[in-house]
Amino acid sequence: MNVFTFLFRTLRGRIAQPSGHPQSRTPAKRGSSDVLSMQHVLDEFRDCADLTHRSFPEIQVHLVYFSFLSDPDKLDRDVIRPLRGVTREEVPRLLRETQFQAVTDRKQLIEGILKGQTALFYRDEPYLVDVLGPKERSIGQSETETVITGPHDAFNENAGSNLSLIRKRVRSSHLKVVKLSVGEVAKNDVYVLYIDGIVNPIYVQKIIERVRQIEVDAITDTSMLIQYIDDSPLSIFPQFLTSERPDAIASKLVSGRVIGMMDGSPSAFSAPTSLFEFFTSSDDYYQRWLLGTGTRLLRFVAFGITVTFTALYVAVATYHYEMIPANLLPTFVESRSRVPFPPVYEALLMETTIELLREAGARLPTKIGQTIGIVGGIVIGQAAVQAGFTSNILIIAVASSAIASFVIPSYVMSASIRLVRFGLILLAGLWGNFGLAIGLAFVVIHLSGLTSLGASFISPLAPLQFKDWKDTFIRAPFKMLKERPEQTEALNPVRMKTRK
Amino acid sequence: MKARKLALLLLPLAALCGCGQQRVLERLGFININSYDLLPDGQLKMVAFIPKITGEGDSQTGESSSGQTGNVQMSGQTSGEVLTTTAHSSKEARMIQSRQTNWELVSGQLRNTLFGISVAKQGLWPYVDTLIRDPTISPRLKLSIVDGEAGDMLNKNYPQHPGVGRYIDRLLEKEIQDQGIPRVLLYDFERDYFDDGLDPVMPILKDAGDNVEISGIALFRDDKYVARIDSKDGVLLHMLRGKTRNGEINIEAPDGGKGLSHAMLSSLASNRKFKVGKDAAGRISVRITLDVEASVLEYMGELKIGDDRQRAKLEALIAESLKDRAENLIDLMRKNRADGIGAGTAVRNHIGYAAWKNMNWREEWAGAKITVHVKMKINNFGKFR
Amino acid sequence: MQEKLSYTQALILLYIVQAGLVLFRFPQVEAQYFGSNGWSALLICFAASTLNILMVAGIYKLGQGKSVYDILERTIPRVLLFPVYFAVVAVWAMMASLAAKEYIHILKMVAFPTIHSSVFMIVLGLLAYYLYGKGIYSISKAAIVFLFLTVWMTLLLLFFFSDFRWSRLTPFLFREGTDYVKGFFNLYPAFLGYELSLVLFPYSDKKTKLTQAAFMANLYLTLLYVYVSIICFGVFHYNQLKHKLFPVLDLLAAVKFPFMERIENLFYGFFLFANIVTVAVYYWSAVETGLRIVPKMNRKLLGFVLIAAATGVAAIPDTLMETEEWLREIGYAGFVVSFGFPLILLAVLPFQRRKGKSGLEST
Repeated sequence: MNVFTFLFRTLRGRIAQPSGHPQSRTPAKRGSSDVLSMQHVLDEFRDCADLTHRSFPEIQVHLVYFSFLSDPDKLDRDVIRPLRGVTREEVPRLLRETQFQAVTDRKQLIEGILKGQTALFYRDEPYLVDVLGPKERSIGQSETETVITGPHDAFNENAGSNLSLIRKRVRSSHLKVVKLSVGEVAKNDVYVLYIDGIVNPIYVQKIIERVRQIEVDAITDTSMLIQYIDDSPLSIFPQFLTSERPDAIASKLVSGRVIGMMDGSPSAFSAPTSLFEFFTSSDDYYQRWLLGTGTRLLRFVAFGITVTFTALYVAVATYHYEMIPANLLPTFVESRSRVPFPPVYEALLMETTIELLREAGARLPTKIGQTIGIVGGIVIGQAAVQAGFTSNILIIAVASSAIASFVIPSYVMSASIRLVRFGLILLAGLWGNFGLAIGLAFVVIHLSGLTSLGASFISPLAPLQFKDWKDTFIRAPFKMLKERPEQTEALNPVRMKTRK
Repeated sequence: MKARKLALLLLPLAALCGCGQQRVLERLGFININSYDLLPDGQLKMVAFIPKITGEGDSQTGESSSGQTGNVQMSGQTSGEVLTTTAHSSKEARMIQSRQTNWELVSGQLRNTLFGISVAKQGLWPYVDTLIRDPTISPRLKLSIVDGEAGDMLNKNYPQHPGVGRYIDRLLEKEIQDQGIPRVLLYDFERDYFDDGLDPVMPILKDAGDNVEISGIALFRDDKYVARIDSKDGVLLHMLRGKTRNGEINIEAPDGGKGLSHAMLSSLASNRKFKVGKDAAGRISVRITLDVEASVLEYMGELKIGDDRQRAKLEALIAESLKDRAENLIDLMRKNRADGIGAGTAVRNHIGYAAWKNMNWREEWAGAKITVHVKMKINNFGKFR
Repeated sequence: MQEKLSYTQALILLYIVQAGLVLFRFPQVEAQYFGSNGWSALLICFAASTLNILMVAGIYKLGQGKSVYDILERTIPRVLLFPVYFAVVAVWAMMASLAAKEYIHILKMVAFPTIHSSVFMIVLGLLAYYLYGKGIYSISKAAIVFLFLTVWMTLLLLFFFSDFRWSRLTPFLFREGTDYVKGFFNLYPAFLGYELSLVLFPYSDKKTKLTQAAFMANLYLTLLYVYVSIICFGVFHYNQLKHKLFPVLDLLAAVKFPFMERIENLFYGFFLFANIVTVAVYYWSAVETGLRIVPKMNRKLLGFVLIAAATGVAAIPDTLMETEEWLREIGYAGFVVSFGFPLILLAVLPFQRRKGKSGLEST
């Protein structure tokens, strides 16, 4: 474990402590936690303006709840109306109805209220009623991971509905869900999903352990969570795959991976992951196999282009003029002749511009974003060439490597790769092709050292598993995909019975 | 964490050596053709041609860069800089030349080197040696000989063909493609020079007024020019040197004694075989078999090409003619003690090392019995019977 | 628990370690010392290296896969072993740094004639240290990736299909060579690297089939060398090869694509991938041995010190010729180590078997 992360975590943990944790404010000596009087609860939640306290004095019933967390219709139907219709004698009978759960534990009571349940006190005996119903985003399409064919539903911010999306796809009693909580203050729910009998329990244990070890005030998204639990937090590459697509996540589940979800986050993560998984999309499986294979290979080509193309331009224009064929030389020299900067600066300038455009497009509403793309791409590009700021060959290089980077399905990975590109451009400007090779070697060495939950991050490539290549670099016909990937070390590696 | 440490260490290094050594495209003067001539006083005259492709200070550049690329090349290469120097060595000449220009002269884009016939007679090796030694010079550099002064060819303006370097390069490229001349790249020449069973050859260029023409092929003994063959025998030489895939040759076949006729063989494919033996007197004999297939698209003569029997006769006549020409060619080589077809390699591989070393192949070659056999086959004669 | 190397990992690791050293010039060595058909000398080297690997196999079997240092230290007092260890460390570390140095010198010739070589040496040293620090398991993973990044380049040589003439190979064997014995010792460093499998014993188990991997790596390497040399001898004449310092680079330089020429400029950089693995693994092995002398020392620190020292020593020869001279000499030393070290072990082992029976039972 890294010293930095350790320090970071402990620091964060320390900050979390005094920051008004509800439990820590209740002095422990004041009584055992078995005291469940309403007064204690109200004490606990004092200064919470959104807490509602309703009394029905004639039947000695009090309701305590967060009005914004509960569904007013449900509350009215399940609680208020029945209470209005009873007399004092009838209350115990009413409380035997199913929606009222008697609570004995103080912690449970508090957490229930925090979750949006309504607490009902009848002569200081607490009950909880489930009337949760804050508004949530309906299940819609994923904006970041789109497919052409195949299911279009995506996770939303509600873990319950996300779990239901998975359950709908994997109808098996072997699909197990472990519920954990993370965040000392925020107490976010984390669900760890796996399929018993397929998954290697070591991985489940590792994830659970790591999530439990997190001591931080709050984690608000899965993408944030995985940075707390991955193997090398300082690496530029994400080591867990995140996805918003339930179909993708379901397929990861059955291939023996562990899935993690968070309440409040529309993405789930899967682990262990390999680098090459970031280059696959559900679409590959929904298309015919040759097309799927072609698309996959295209993505790897795109990877090559986006990492090396601009750097190669810089190297060639700065050091290796010999490499330009005679037919291309005039074009090259002519386009360079009016540029006042050395190729490195020129390339960095253009790359930065492209990144600016991308970031601006991402932050603005879709329609304006498009305009930005057009204005930036065409107008700036054209003007820059005409003004002699950049050469048009560089524009081609930069634009094609930018486009190539967007071919990679995972946004996180494509962003990381674009960052790597900057390093390579610098090195290429420094030492030409040798610098490029140094940079690539550095990336390869770094990748070889990476692990995801302890499993190799470049899995079917190293350790070499040719068997898995047919579902990594290509997408072989389903008939040939008989086994689960080696990386998951699944207990039951066979996914398809051999047809005789 | 390691990564960061490494990056921190790399950074100052980056600052240290970011300068020097750069060869940024637009500051370079790319020599794309150069020439060597020997002056009567023993000095070396070297001419280098730098095509002008940048159009610096030219207001047209902006327009042309947004126009078609083809246009750019044409307009960009209308002229170039010609640097002429005399010096004792080629590298010294380079130094003097670089003082004459505002460009940083580089030879990484050198495509052609021309040798004046004066240099070729003296021996090319010292110059070729320098070319090989320089790691920036491509092994794919084309070598040719100029009939006369090579430098004049670069100094002369061919108005119909702007950019003399590119012009000559394309001319040679095309002829090599059509197998009219053997391909003589730097490493081809070097290899043939070192090979003891083969002598190098090289195309000869000649200034023909408004054009440059390929006037023949030079035969070498080691690195020295000894004789030349006519350019019309170029394909034949190619056939004798090895496999030919796409040749074209004009045959003047005596048409059964009824006056001259001629046939044009195109899409010619041929295969050469050596058979080494000894004649009755114990002398080396080499039998060269040429297996030729070609289509005849033009034939002027008495024979009916559509008729099977007459076509067979024509095949025999062509074969006869080819044989005669090949034997004449070989006789020329033998007379000059130059083995331009590589018969020596076949003999060497046949007779064993000791015998080969004891033999002076050049002398043997002059006296050996060399026979040529041509198997001619017309595989089609167009779409008209 | 340390993960054990798999069979393919061990194979590829050893293969790359072997290939990284003199890839550019071995056809020249063949032509210079053996003359015509000098590539056949590779087969002699192959036989010798196979013999050596058999010795390693014997040690593995007799020693039941125990660390070679443990084997030595059980019989010979450690103090006596120090000079041996020291020699091994020095030879291996210097082989690594000189291999890097030669790479840098060629790089300078090809692309950066005026930059001082120590700049690149430091960069390469840092990169080697970075790779070394990842541990042998990760090094072997990186080796696999590097293999895939470089192995396809052999296909580029098919470009010379039309230039290739069998007749140029001549039917003569070893004519016009100079000194066969010297030639053998100069060519043999091209095969060195398999001896590092001695150090890999503790990192492998039954499933690794380490000695088989070493054998196959050696076989594949020989096939690669034979392939490259035959192309060289068939495209260049052997008399020409004698004069070519880096025939493989010249071959690459003659390859031409419509969009790129002079690809040796680019692919020379790619050979860094093979080179860096060789360098890192030699350093790693040297450190493994060095830890026997100073067992208390931090592994990373020792690695850093060693790499820094070796890089420093390698800075002394400052021309390509001098570096090659040094490399040649360290190659002889490497040869001695690769045969001598196993010989000591084989001498010690039978001794231990008798004694070791009881020793084994007690542990």
